[in-house]
Amino acid sequence: MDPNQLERYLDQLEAPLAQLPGAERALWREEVRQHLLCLAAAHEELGAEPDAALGAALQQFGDPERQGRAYGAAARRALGRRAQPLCRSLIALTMCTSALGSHVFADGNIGHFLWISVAIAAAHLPGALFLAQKAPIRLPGWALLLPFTPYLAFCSLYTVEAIRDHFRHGFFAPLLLCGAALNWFGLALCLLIVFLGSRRRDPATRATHPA
Amino acid sequence: MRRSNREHGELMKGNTPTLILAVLAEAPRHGYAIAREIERRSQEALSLGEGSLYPALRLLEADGLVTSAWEPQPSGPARRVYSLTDGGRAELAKRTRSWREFVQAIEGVITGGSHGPQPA
Repeated sequence: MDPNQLERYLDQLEAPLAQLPGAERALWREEVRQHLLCLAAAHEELGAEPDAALGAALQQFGDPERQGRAYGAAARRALGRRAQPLCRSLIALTMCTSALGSHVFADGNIGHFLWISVAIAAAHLPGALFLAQKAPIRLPGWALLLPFTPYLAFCSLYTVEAIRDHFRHGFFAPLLLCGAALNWFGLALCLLIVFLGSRRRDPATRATHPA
Repeated sequence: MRRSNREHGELMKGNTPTLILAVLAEAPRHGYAIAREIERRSQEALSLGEGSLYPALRLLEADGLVTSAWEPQPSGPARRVYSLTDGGRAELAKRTRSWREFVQAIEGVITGGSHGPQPA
């Protein structure tokens, strides 16, 4: 059996997949390699010479460029389907943050800041858990953090408000400090959940890598 | 057998996911084993194009109907093994029901309605 023949076929198969992440391409290549070796072994059992058996296996699998394009199209469609929940959660989180955040800054009552902070954290944590479980595994890490940018803005505004209050009155108001700390803690917790979730789902780290 | 397969090609196109789900309902399998099991169950009347299996599996996985994991094999390198999720079982039940209704309807047309309920 000529290993170069197999590798050439796999190269052709992989050529139309340049837009897919490298880890996905590598895993599929390995999966197809195992499939082709099984097919070749079956042809050998039927009496074919090793080279002829591999040739028959490659022919049975089909034109590599066509198969590669078909797989690439399916992978892109799959990515689109999995991205839908991310888009929905992004919209929901943005709306939630905007509504609550504008309420707080229009009000200006320090006592309300704490309660609103708790509400915002409570609104974001289920979103983070959802993203950790359901977000597309192929999205880069920074894309998973995008839904939390409004939260980051809110935390920053809160901190600025606490500092401005310090300059106005000469001391930090304990409630504002607690609120700012609570917000940053909530944001950090959300990001940690999403980060750990995305690592768990990443096939490059989750899978037993094929030998 | 290949001739039968060509004749069944159009039917296979829309039903490849159903065949895959049905085969995985029995036990988790890797891609090669899925293709062979479909051939075996259909007595080689149906043969998936080897390459068309993986795009279908990719979409089924994205829909949460199957899940996959690389599993070490007793002999040889690790293989990507696919298994059915609870959602996949529910989808298979739905597709099976729909397929039987479809076959019954076609059968009714071909046989002149002798299989279906007769109008009073």
